Amino acid sequence: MDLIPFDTVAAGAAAVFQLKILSWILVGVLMGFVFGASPGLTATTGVAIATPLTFGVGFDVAMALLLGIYSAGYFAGSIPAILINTPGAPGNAATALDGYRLARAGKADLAISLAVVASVVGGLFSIGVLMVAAPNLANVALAFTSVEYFALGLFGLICVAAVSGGSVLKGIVGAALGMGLGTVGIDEVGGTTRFTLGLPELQGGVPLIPALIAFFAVAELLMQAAAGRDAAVLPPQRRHALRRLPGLLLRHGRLLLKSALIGTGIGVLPGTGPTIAAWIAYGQSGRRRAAAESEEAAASRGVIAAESANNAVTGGALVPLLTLGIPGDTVTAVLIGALLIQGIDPGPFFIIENGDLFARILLILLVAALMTLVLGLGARRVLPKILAIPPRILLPVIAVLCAAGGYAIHHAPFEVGLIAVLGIAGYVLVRFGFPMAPVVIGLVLGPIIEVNLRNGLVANDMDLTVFVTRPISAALLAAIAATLAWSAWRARRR
Amino acid sequence: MKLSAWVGGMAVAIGLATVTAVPSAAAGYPEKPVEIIVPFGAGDALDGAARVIAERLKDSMGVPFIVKNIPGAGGGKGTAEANKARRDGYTLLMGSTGALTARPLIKDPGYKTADFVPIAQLVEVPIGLAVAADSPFQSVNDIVAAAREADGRVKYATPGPGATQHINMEIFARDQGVKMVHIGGRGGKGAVTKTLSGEVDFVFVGASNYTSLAKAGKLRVLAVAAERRVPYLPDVPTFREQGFDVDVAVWFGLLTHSGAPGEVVGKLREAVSAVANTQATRDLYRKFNLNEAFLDGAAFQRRIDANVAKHAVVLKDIGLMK
Repeated sequence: MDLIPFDTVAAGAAAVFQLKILSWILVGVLMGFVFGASPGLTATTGVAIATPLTFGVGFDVAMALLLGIYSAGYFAGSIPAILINTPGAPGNAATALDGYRLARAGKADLAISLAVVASVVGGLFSIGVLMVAAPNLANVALAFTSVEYFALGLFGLICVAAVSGGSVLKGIVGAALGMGLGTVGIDEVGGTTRFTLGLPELQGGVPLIPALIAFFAVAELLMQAAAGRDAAVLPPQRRHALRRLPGLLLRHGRLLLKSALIGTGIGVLPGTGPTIAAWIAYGQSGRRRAAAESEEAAASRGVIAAESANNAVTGGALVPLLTLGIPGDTVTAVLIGALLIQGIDPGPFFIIENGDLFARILLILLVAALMTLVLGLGARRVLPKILAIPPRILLPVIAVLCAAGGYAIHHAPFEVGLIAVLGIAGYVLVRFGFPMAPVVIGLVLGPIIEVNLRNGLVANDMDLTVFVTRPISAALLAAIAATLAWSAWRARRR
Repeated sequence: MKLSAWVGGMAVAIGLATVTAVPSAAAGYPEKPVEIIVPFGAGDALDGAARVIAERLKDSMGVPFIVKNIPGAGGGKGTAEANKARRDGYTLLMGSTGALTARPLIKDPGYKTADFVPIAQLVEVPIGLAVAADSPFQSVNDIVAAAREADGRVKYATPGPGATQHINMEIFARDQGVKMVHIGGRGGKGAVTKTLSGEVDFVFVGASNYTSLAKAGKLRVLAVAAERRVPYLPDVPTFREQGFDVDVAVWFGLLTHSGAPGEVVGKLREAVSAVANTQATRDLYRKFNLNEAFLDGAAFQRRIDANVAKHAVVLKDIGLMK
């Protein structure tokens, strides 16, 4: 499709650049910050709660509010991830690894700055892709069957090596544990119930958000609590001059774009989302090589990759929504309802028949991204002050926050208890030197790998060769083999 | 902080979370916000129906009706949660066929169908059978004929194993004496995607899932499993028009725990009946492509019972029943 004609953009701008609409975008962005940054609440929850509020208003106001939440919500979860090792949403878990490391080294300002800018660059990149290539990319989404999703899931597992710290073997064991946890609940292929220990709450599987809170925040809390008075004193937080940021970003320009590309691509695929995008980009960030240079350079790469990718999911996920009526992630699934209420049935005709509305969606996303940039950079000086609070006060507060986050998910005590149990298990694992990130990755990717392997076989009359005869799957599997061979070769040379 | 103090703090937090308000007298119902548990994710058709009725009930009963999504296990998780809630009528369940009528037959999911008393059925979505635009199949007959050629030649997708759509397609296959391969789509839209990508031959899900794709010619809807043609797909014949006795819909309705006071159930039935039968509610339903299908408590109960009886037979046949 051609670029949108100039007069359509001009008309869209006239509709969007009004005080009323801009104010609603700001309200959405602020809501996005709150929902994204609160553990247990996500951008999806925020959009779901706000949707009924739009039943009585026009298209522009509805989209301003909802897309504002969407855009800011995917970024905001990185703030607690960086400051207190508690990802505000699953998509920000990868950010916690290096962001929290930077914060503990006194560089929270730098980490938040990188996260904000990477998020906005990722978001803007994906909006650009949505604008230029939406109809063509819809076909990419449809090229993915169970066979390709299986290969993609395996490809995602490569990032386990990047997050394993000292011992790759322990990382693999962790990932296997996570995949084991991922088998709990009703089997989505056969329909039988597995390993629920008779608890009806576990029928839907081990929920990801409580697991994240437990494995990241609670395990870390227990480590610090156990260290007690011996805990290391954190260095004072250093300011990071804004004028040094452009140079830093330029240096990581290729990484920014690569991660944005990964995020957009994952976003286009239905049934995936920011969590998978962030982990894959993190695995491809080359932070191991950078580690030879300096710890800061490596950690910066990690934050940039994760945040650029998870925000790039937004524009990507709107591609199948606006071209096929099929949501690319959980937020866009909720947006379908909001669009239906506006009398719009999103599908193949949407962009063709409603070019003006499409232009407005793009412009709203653009404004929301810029607002996120300004607000995020504004917050980077204030928020790190949290780390100056003495641990004896900060740690209990975080503990309560974790419990409240678990309760916020369904207003039920089960998740709170689950966080406590998994948190203690996580603490034991960390004590024995097992990194937590591979466990989370196993939990995220395990069900995708299992379900799609089985579905792929069933759909192809149990023929194993489909995984190498279908081109996308073959390419992904070849990339995995090449990566493994390369790292084995490097290990031998050392 | 000491480890023990931390664990203590967590225990207090769990305790606080379980404390809920004292039960109130049925006479003043409702005195506080009412919760509607939707056992599917936000954005699902069931979720849309719940949010419509919640908005309308808020206006009529004067307290907020809060929609709470608890997705997972094909509706089983949220339904189990509704069964655990206080039996005072302040927790309602937006129930649908499948989770309510089939899941308890497969394995104990933490509730029985009889744990819930119906308030009213609200809407239904007729299930439609659709193929990709480039599919050779032009009618339901073509599919049956192809399936007759060899077992497992024809593959189809539904939201997931044990879903109403899956069960009813298995009933259809058994009636025709054919065997087809089922693949779950992890939701209705996922099942549609599997058809568009060519992974399966056809999709059997609620027809509201693909109206725009059908209009654009990307999908060809071969039949709807309804008594009459549906307004948003006027050119699509019913199964019956093609000589097959299939009339199944996914229905959604409000229920509460059967332990709730009779007086409260009575009040709820009255209020829901009043708001459901207004033009404003119908207009909102139509926007979501939901068919208005009001049934009062007693009629809804009969439909649930009939579904359970029918599902029991099939689930045993396809080996899913305990």
